[in-house]
Amino acid sequence: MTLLTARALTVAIGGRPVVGPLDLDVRAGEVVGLVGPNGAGKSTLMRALAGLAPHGGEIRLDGAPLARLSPGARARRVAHVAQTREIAWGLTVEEVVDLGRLPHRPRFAPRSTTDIRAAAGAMAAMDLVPLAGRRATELSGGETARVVVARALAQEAALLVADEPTAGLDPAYQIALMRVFRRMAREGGAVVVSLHELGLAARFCDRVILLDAGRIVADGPPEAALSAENLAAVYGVTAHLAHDAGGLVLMPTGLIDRLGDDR
Amino acid sequence: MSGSNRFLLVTMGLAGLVVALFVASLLQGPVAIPPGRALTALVSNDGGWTLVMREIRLPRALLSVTIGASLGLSGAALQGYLRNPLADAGVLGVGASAAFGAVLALYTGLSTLFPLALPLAGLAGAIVAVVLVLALSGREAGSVVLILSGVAVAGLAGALTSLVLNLSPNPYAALEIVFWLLGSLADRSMHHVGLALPFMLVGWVLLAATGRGLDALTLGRDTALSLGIRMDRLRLAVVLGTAAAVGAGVAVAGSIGFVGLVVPHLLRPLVGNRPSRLLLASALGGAALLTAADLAARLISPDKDLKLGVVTALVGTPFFLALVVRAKGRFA
Repeated sequence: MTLLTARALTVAIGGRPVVGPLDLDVRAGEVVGLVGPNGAGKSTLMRALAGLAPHGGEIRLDGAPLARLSPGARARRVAHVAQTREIAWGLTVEEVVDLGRLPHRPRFAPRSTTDIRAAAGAMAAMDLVPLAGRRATELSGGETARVVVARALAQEAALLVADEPTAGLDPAYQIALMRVFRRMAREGGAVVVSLHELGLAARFCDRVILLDAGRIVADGPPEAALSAENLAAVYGVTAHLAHDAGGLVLMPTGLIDRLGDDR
Repeated sequence: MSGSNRFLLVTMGLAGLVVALFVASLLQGPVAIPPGRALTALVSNDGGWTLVMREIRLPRALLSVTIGASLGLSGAALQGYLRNPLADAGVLGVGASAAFGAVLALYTGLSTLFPLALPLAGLAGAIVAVVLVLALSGREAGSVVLILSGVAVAGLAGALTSLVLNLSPNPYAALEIVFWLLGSLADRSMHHVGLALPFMLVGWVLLAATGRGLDALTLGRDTALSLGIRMDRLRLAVVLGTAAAVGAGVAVAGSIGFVGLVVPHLLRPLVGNRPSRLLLASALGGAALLTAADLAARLISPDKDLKLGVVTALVGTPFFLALVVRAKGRFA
């Protein structure tokens, strides 16, 4: 089932076109990896898909135009993890995660049992229970990364758009995070996640969209999108590609010099 | 959550403090009235004492509580919205513009035509300031543009106030203006309360509704948007709420500094840093602080009419410095 469709999508920043025009679909039950070099327009595209940036063309969520949903209704269906992890004042980890429940809570209402259960589930998924009472402003970078993802998970939206959520995480938490995304997809949701760790995209995503200069270069299974030719053309890198029982293994190995000096 | 229990405790404690100070303010005055008799004179007719209580002491106590609450509440909302602990109503230029409006009424002699001309001119100044700030900063402005617009408006209002002082026909006229600018609650009537209170109520409602948005904003603008917060409405509520509540206060009492800056600082750790909880706590804290300051000004020098704005600044500054020194490590 198609959850989100974008047609002739364009996004501009300060009048300068940054993304598109492009078409893409996100189906329920899949984890879509968004990869591409720095400045390719990944964050801008993700902000548009999450309904946070004005856009040209059309984005539909469950068939309805995204731009026409009320902010509250949109927030109950699309969650967004921003690349910059801002936390002001000294809220506790538990309070930050609970903010993900705001769209579900009427103004001035206390936390419902659903709110408490959702927040607790999100904290457990991100291994934050031992940190629940700590000030979120006093955490390490990796701990903060887990808090902002847990906040978005607590939102219990059908579509999660996460911008580089693995940045700053150690390998164990990177894999654990990708597994949480896989579980969310298995339970009928969908995840669009931008990644610089191509190995994670190759192994844990159902589909990979390769973005370069605001356009889609490849969109398909990891094996097809992350081919040696595509990596060379878009990133200018050589890579070691292999298969094992768990799927595709990808390791960038060198830079392709324009003069042909491969090191 | 134990946090909500503590919040309840802090709120009730502050509310109790406000009530106690309100009563103390009613009982304090140049005419000695026995406390019991003073309070009964307020509700039942007791000749001259009823007049003193209803026409002199009640408006003063009411204004100190409501203006203090407006200053505390708007300070908390602005600090939350701008995510900056240095903000208070001053950054929007509302106070400076309201003061300029009132000064203009004094200068032109409008205030001698009918007594409410002064506060009305102050309110007009606040409204002009808000329209200017919103027009200058535009629809989609971030907090820096909003602050810069406010600073520009405050600067202009300050310069115009100086110009009026400069052009004053005689020293007495200038002195009248300067004294008014210092801020005071002396000799205010129930007419002043009736004029300011409706605007303050509107301001309080607007500001109280920002709690949810301010909480979401602790995680940044993008995350607040993704949580369904309408940022344009939030900004409008903060700016208009501040203008109505603080503009009305300055219009009847003159400039009173530091309450909006200090009170949210003092109470933030007590309510667990949460912006939505800080709103109510700061309103109560502001009411308590201003009433206490007004009481102190009257007790220290009953015959000198020590100006309220002077007292809050004198008490507030060292106190604020102490807070900054203690918190130095936290604002790296």
